[in-house]
Amino acid sequence: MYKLSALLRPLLQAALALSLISPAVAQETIKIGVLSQDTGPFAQNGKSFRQGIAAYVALHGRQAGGRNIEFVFRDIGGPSPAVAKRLGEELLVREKVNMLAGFSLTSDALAVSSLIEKTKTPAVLFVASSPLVPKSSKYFLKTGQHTAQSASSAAVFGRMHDKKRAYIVVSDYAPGHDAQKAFSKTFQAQGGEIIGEARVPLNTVDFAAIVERIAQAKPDIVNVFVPPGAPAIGLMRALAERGLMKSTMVIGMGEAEDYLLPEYDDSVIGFYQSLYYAEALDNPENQAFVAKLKELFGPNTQPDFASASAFDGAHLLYQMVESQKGKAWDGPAAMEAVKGTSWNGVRGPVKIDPATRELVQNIYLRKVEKVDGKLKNVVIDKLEAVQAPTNEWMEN
Amino acid sequence: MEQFLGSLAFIVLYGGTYGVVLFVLSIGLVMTMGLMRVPNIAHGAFAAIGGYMIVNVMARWGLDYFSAIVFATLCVALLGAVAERTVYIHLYRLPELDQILVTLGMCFVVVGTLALVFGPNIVSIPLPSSLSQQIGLFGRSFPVYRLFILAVGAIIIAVFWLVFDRTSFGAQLRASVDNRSMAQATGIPVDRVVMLAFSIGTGLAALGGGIGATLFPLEPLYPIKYLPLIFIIVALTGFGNIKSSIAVAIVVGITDTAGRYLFPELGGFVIYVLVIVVVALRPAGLFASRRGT
Repeated sequence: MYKLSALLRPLLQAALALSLISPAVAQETIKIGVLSQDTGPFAQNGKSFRQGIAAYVALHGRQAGGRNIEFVFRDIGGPSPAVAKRLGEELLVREKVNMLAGFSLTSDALAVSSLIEKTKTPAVLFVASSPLVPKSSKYFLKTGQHTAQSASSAAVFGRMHDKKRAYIVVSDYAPGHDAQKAFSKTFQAQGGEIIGEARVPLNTVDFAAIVERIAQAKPDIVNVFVPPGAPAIGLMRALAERGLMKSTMVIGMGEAEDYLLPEYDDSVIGFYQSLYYAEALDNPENQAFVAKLKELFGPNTQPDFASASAFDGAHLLYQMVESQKGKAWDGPAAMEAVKGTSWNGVRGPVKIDPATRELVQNIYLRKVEKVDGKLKNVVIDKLEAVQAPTNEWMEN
Repeated sequence: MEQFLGSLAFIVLYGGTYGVVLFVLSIGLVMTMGLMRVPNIAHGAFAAIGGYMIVNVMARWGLDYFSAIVFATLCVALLGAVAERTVYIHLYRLPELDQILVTLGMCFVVVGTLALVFGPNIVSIPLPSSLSQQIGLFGRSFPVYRLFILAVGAIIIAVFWLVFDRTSFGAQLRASVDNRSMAQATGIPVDRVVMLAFSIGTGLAALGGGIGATLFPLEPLYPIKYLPLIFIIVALTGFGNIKSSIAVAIVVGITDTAGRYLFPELGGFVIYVLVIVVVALRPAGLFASRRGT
């Protein structure tokens, strides 16, 4: 063993010397750690992250700015900040990743904020949408959304449809509170009235009781924010059972993505959503993305907001690597280089707001309809270049 | 006044249906706890298996809703009997912790298998058009589906009562629950009673998983997600008070629905207050007879 290392030492020294002289010559690899949820209750997000990244890599290759790009995936496996932090450390220290990406839950992102702050590692948020995250470290960038972008837009869409009396139902957790606040504030600012608000426990699946209250208050628009899956399906069913899906404008956010629609029955027909992505968008970027997904993962594969974010996020990561072409890798410099950058994402034109590091993007109004016997989200309207609100706006 | 009556009708009907589903789901575990003293954590897994079976035989073999439910109930009852003879029989003499570990492990195996075979998302059981309509009652409309649940519940409760009070199997079951060794000494085939009771209990769980799928959506995590509710019924019923579990389930269903209706934000917790109060004041069970054991 000792002899072997004595033999190797000169070789290693030579290699080290070479690498010091010309860092970019030997096809340096930029490693990107992806923290996601591949198993557990949020597994759908992890699957979407992988698909979105794979589609981008398949379309744009594994290189940018003269460097190889390698993605390293880690599964947090549930709502566990401690595991997120440990995996973040592992990626940064052992895998020596140059950037981080992914993040389904706000708590996943907050868990690594001190790590990226210390190591000056840029991190791109695909889904985690709480305003707390960009505030917690200046190294966060976002290709998902600020919760208020969609929630405030829902209020604007409601007023555009001349709705005056709103009832808000949200799940009782931080994202729900953010959505409730943004909708309520915008709806009132635009001359609407909030006639009732309710926060229901996260584990609620039978919504008959709360829907009964809503029906008695006689609103003309019902704003909802509940996690997809059992709660969303239960809520839609209860709203339809009570006739509210027809008599009011029920508007949510990402509760009924197209790939989720087979889980619902016809009760979901007429459900509006205000969100930054829709499978049905007909821009060329989205069509190439959807076609690539189907080619890679089979004809039944459908995109969702998470895979769209991952695809656009991969583009942002590639741009950052591109910006450091011919220079030694410098994470903070790469980050500065993309602040203010704009491009055509699969969701339409987007721009990184240099002041807030949030994404300026279109918000679409979608409605679930039955097209040729199949449930589909049809895009019926959009608000262009919607900015994320400031922290002061959210706090007051 | 009209609004008050409407609200009351809502709470009674919706709470009642909720209670009936809870009863059908948990009666098997109430019997198992009373008979075998095994805290069968995997009980919810049988309900999930039943629900998934209904979805799949409807989609693949084109069975209609009602026959699919009957088919799944019978299949899972058979599965329960086999499981009792092959797995649970080894658990009776083990300490409680081991029983919990084994049954919890089985629960995880079922959760994992369901996720692997059917994917992580929710599957729904399509209701026949006869059940997805609305019907006018008390000056407002109610879904026919809720009335169907009530009807199924009423039939099960009636049959249960008859079997329990009027047949020799019922007498043997009651005897085995009250005093197992004495029952054995008088010549009651306790082993067979246990197997039958277990089989009926798991079959009913499957039935509950099927008719309750609109209230408790089917997903791989189902066996764990709704276990606390099932355990609440078991805990409030107390050991072996099989008949009172009906009343307990209805009380829980109505309390929960009324809580959620009257106080939307805290309503989900009203049920836990009920549990704390009952366990503190009547640890033997909500409707337990006052005789000593």
